[in-house]
Amino acid sequence: MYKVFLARRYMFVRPVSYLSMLVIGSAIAALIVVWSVMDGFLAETRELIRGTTADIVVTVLQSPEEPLERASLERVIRSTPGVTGAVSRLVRPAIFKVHGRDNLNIGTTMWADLNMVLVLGIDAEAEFEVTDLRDHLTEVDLESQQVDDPDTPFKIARNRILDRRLRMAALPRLLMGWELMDQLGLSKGDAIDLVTVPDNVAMFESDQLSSSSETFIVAGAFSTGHHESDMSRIMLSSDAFRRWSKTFHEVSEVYVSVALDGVDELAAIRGDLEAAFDAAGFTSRQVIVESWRDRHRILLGAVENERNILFIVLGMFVLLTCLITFAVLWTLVQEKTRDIGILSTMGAAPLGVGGLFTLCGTLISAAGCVVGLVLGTLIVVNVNAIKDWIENTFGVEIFRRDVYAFTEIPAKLDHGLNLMIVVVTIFFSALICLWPAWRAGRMNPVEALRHE
Amino acid sequence: MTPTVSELMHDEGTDEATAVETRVPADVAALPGDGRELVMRARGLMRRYRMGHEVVEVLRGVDFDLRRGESVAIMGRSGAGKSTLLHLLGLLDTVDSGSLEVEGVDTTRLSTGARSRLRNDAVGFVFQFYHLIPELTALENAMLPLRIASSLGSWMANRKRHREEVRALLVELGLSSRLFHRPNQLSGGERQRVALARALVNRPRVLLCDEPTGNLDERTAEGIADQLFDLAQEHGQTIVLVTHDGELAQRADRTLVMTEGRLGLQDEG
Repeated sequence: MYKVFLARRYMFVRPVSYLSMLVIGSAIAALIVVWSVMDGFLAETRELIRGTTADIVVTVLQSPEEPLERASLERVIRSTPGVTGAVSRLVRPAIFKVHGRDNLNIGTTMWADLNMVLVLGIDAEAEFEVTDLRDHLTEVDLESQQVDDPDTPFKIARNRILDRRLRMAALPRLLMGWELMDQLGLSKGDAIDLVTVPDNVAMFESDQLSSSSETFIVAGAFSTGHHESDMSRIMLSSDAFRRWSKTFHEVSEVYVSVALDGVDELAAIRGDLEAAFDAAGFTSRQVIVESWRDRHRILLGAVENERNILFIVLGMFVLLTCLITFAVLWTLVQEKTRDIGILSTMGAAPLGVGGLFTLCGTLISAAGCVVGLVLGTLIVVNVNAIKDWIENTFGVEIFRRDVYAFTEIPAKLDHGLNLMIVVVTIFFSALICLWPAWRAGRMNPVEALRHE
Repeated sequence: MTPTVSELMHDEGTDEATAVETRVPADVAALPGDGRELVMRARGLMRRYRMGHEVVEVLRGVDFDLRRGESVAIMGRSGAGKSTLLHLLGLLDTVDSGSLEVEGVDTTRLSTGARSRLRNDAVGFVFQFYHLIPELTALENAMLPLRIASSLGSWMANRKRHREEVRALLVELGLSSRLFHRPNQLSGGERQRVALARALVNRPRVLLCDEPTGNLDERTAEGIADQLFDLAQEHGQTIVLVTHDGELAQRADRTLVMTEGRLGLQDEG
């Protein structure tokens, strides 16, 4: 009983104890903040990727001599157990310029990217069943970028076409990422020219590359929340895509949605799909089946790795800060040698004296953990308010949206992990306190009483 | 006939010394022996210390009986082994040979934990330099032996009662206005009274006092001695008093002299 009482008195009257608590607390807070932000970053990245892709993507590789039929591919996919939907897309890189504007800056390294896009040929209705396209259309904030009707996104009234000369030309429509539109200062009704290289038979038979160009009217924007997608993607209807690109492809890739109970099941269904394609006579050279995780494994793996490495480094730092407890306790035992003798005269057993000093160290680290937990949690919960305050007060940009593709710093508190950090820290502190505590416990009471 | 201290001193280093050594403790142990219950019984206590390459025999076979309610003063020159004997009687130190029984229990066979429990229960210490815990108030210092003796459950159940008992004891010792003062806010006499309260609070059967008034002025020392003897008598406690103060020693029922590791009766002449 006296151990808790005395440990509290010994520790909470010494400024050095508060300093130790602060150091341990700061280290734990840093660990919690870094883990929460990195974990939030990882979760947001996953979410973003999930929002711009499907559960499973089947990439179709083909030549003009052996074109693959979209219908047969989709049949195989839909007949696989667990699959809830499939939608085919056509994909083609392109260079574009705003119609009537001299803004084609492909001759500079700085602006070349701005004129290069990935063009997707889609069937809007089929997309609505499998992907989040409808959400992406309705989540556009600027009115000047919003499609007239999200159900028929490629439709725009003639009178909304800004260049009057193009109103009667029956030009095909397209959808652009909202950030690209914003960057170029485009509105719904503007026209752009898209240029690509057709992959028809002629292309394979000739050494000369030809180009295929067409003018499109911007019917509106989509917003995936993923910076890269919103900055460099354009969508056409699949019919318009085929006419423009003169492709022999019926399909470039198939987006597959599945009913999932867990990550393992996703891998299982991917395996089933591979088996189904194999059984249907499609070789692995013709179709590549990847889950969204497989497809983005490098990015996700890098973020996850970075998170884990930071955790290990900061975790070691936290454990190192526990050594401060050791130093404080070692000094305390030295300082309290006579007290140890006095306690012995009152019947305190060596084990009890050792326990008292172990408790002293544990109390410091436990209090430090509480400080760290509260501080870390407060920072994580208010991370964006803190970011705004720093940016406004000091005029520095500490979180660049264009770099991280998020509007805010993502942070996700992991209460289980935080609890584990606290438990491990306290355990480690108690462990390293055993040495000074053992030294205190085995002290000869007679010599301790004579200590000057 | 019981040898005197002078005789002991005279016999030292002679062939007769061994004979005296065996005779004297037996006689010492026999006094006063008036039928009161035996609290402590020491036989042939030997204690040696190694100092570098040299072995120093501090106690050379001490026999000693303590009966309930008696007071014994132990005098002797510095380094004679008085404090060592006190530490052995208080179970703070272990004997190299001999036996020490506390209330019939052979302490030489006890584990460290059991010795600590017995010390908490049966012995109270008062030191010359008070030895209070500086972080605690007078009340908390005096309550400490009770905390050490209690488990969490028993402490929670008896906390208020313990607190009132200790408060009453401190008030009795004249410290009613000093209950919540820390040692550095107390005078020497007040500190020693707190130490006395701390030694008495567990109602130990034996009070071991090492120069309890050695650091106090004459008047304060007298007051402390009064309180020590009064309270011990009130609770039927045995006092063993190590002191250089002849007047204080005279207040004890008997006075023994420690000379070079041996215990003898005071020289009446």
